[in-house]
Amino acid sequence: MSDAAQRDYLFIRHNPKGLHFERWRCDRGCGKWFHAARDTVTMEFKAFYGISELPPRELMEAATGEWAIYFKDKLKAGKPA
Amino acid sequence: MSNKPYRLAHGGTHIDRSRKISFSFDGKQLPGFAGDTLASAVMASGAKLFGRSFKYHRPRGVVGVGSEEMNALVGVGDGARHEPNLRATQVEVFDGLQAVSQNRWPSLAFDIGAINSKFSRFLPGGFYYKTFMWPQSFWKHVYEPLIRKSAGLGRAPEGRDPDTYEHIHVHCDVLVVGGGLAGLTAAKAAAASGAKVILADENPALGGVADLTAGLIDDASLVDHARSVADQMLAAENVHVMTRSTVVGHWHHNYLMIFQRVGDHDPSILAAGSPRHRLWKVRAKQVILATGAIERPIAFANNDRPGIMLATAASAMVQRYGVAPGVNGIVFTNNDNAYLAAIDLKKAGINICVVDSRARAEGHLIEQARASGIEVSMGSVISAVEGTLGVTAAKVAAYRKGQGRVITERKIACDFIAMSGGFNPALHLWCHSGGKIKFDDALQSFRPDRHPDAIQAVGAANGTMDVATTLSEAHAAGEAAAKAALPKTKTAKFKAPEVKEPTRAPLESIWFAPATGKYNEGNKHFIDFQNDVTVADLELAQREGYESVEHTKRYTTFGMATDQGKTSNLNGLGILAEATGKSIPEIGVTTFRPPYTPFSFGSIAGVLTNNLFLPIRRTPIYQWHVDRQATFEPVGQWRRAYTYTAASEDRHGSINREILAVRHKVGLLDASTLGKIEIKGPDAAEFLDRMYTNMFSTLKVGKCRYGLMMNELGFLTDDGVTVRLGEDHFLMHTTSGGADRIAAWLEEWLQTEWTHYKVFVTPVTEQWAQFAIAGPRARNVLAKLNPDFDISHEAFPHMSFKHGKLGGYPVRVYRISFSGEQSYEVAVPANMGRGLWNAIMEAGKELGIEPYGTEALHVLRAEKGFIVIGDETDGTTTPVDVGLDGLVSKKKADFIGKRSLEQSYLKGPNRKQLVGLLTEEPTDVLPDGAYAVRAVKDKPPMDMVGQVTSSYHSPTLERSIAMALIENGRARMGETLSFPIEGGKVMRAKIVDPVFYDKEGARQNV
Repeated sequence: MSDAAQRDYLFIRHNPKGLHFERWRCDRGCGKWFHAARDTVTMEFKAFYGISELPPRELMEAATGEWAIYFKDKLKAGKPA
Repeated sequence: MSNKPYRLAHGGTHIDRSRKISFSFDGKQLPGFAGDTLASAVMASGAKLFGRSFKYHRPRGVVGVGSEEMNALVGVGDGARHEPNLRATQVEVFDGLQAVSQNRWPSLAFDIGAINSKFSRFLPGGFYYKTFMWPQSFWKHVYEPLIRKSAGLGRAPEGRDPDTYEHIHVHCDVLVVGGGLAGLTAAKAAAASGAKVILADENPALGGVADLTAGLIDDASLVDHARSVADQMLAAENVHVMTRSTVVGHWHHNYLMIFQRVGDHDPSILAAGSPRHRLWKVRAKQVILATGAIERPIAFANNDRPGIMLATAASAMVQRYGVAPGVNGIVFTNNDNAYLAAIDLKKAGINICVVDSRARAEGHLIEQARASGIEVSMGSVISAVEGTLGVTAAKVAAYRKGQGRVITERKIACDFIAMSGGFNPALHLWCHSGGKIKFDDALQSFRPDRHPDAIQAVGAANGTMDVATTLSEAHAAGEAAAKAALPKTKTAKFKAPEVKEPTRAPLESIWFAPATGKYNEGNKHFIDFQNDVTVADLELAQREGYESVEHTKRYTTFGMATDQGKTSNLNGLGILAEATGKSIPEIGVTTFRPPYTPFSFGSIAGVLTNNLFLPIRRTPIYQWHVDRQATFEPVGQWRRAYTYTAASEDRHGSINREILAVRHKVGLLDASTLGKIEIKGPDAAEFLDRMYTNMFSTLKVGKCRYGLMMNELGFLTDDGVTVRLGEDHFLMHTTSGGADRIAAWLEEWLQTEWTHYKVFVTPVTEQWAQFAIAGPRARNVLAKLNPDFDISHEAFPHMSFKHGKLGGYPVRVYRISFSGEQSYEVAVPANMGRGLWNAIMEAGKELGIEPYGTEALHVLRAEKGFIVIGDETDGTTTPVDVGLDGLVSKKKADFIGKRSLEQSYLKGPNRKQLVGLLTEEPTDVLPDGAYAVRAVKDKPPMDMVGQVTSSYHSPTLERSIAMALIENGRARMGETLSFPIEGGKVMRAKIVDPVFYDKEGARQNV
């Protein structure tokens, strides 16, 4: 991995206004990690899904930036959760 | 100050004339009635002066009637109960209340700071930015004390707050904010469908401004109608009515906070043990804002003189409290509503005339005013006000819209002025969490537009200024909210009440009422009364190029006072619009932020004070430490024994004694706080290989290994000894403060990235009491406790592990050393900790065992050059920086931080490296954090080359020692560095190896 790629991995974040795909942790409770798709404008949670699961298809299709790149293959594979 | 009483013989809906009370204001005893506010009771005595303004120290009186009040800020209560900056219009008086005015010295009527007013031409907008810039040292010694003395509001209370506070968390279907006609109607409609409703109002009673509004509902007065609905709401089981309860903020997903003043108005409530304030945290399915509207002042010359009030406030003084604001008054308006105030004031026997800036206007209220004998001057403005401590006269001039100055004036003697520049819907809560607003030409103000949450605005808050529409839209909103919250409910039939109300002519905005010369000396047109911002300040900012309203706000401080621009915001926008030739929507609005009104720190803290603020964690040996007079040190939430000081010695003495006991005899340390995490499973070894920089899969069962942990950036985050208890079973030790963080860190990787690993992570810190027995006689102590395992050096060497029985207790014993001495860390189930501790102390008695605390622990490890995460590392320190590159595996395929550690910038020259320091003067102990400089200069700034990370007096070496991170330190051994410290002194120290004692590590290995 090049220095530039490592830098991007560590520090560069896709930060669109709107739909985000995030990792959350039940910090004061069970400690479990899970996924949430959240709109940063309305603060609305669009979906919750397990750490090894994919979000609903329509959210994957609405994804932008690095998320879109990541979901592209999953959508092609045709068996999202 | 005039002492003429202004209490009218009759009237006053809010007061009970049969209940007389006595309170003090600025030390003077005054009478009042139950139901009075501080504002009404003081004004009843004839006084008008309530405080001095922030910047110019101009005398100020009451302007408003409720939470919009910006001038009459007072301090209430004595000593520790003193609360500053309360609005006199909201403070309810009771027998014995003590209140003081603020920001005046030496007295209200004569204030030295008012001299600022004379020099006001030197205090323009942005004054603070322009003047107090240079030289830098003047800030600390001249400017700041000066500003602090002359500015500022009330004083902070002294001593611990004797009162209690609490938080309550609730859910409801519908939260209705505001208990006026709109809120009551909405709450009733929502409650009729069975919804669980909270109705919150900031005032002591419901009803809003029904008493200040013209109209009839089904032939009943608005007040009677409101009272009847209020009674129904109070009786309804599914409606929780909260008065004296301000909704201070709205956050996303309809999360709101209600600040309830439970006991401020009545000391007997507090005496009965009630909390003073409650903070309600509400999650509402639906929110209805019926927050009303706030009247706008008008910017005319010297519009801040005591006796100049909002028209609704003047009328409320008479109707609610039976207090006349004066004898001869002028109502200055640009709208019809103020005519109602004029009529009501006239009815109370006060001489009133009306000055209306509109060229012409026709409506029922104007007709009625004329009919009752009130002189009305249309197309006129008040161009100036005379009088300083109170109004003595006003100058009235002919005006047509947009006129910049007036030519001829006539003088009218008066002692108060009631002004009304229109109404601004109270949009604060609407805007706190993303609500959009739009400009309304009829209102000449903003009103709600869209909102992402389930929230509706009704009545005046929605810009609806007539009663009929208010009632119908409030009912519809209440019904819709209930239906949305409880979809299955049926709605009852609704018969719209018959409303009679006066017709009204449209208002016409007047953002600036001209004087004879725009900026005549002494002619101040105030926009923001609390921060003393004038029209001239705003126009100056605009000329100086402040185009954005957000910048203008910060530059001039308009709208930034504790009233959050309730009365000033829109007037300021109007001025900027006229100055730039833009429309108000083009100027834009500044951001509304919570809270709507200030609320107490006590309510924010709730019960989470003292011991409940942060729980204290105690080890099983805690009470023993207390009994031995240990001083304690906080380590995270733990309290650890710092040193055990006997009566015959001081703290330095006890620390040195403890250190020497470990070096020459034996010491016992309570290390129970040490983080302990069990890691178990077939993939445990591989998992640890990835978490640590060094290898753990090669560790043999029964052996211990010191490990370093980095984050993904390649920076050290934790260290500690991990023991292989079994093939698939490890025990990881973390730093005392890092136990929770590291357990969460391990979980994160297992749960999110390496989900295929079969590993369990179990934090067990509290399960075990753990003690270090350290010193040349440590094994002798162990031997006396009849271990059922072989403790010989051959069978149980350094960095190995045994379990068995010791003194009859089931133990795990790790032969690890943080002191550099022969050392055994003994872990026993926590509930047996105290027993084993006593047994060890007893067994060690004749061997000279002494308990040692955390300071001795730190000196002992520093003598050995052992790092402490957080001392020798600061979050940007790598293993290489601290000289532990030997612990970074070159064989492992991957581990956290590996790739980052190879980044060029972490390998580059001039990294700070860990070194030891010996001061030239052995008795000099370098201060922690002292900077080494390239060259000593007379004063800062000086080039810094590194800093001291740990520094102690070492009794073992009988001199001071220190560790430091120094640029290229390892290549500079023998070099002497200079450390300027406070007071002009410079300490000099030589760079040496960080291991000061027993470099070979022989002592721990016997």
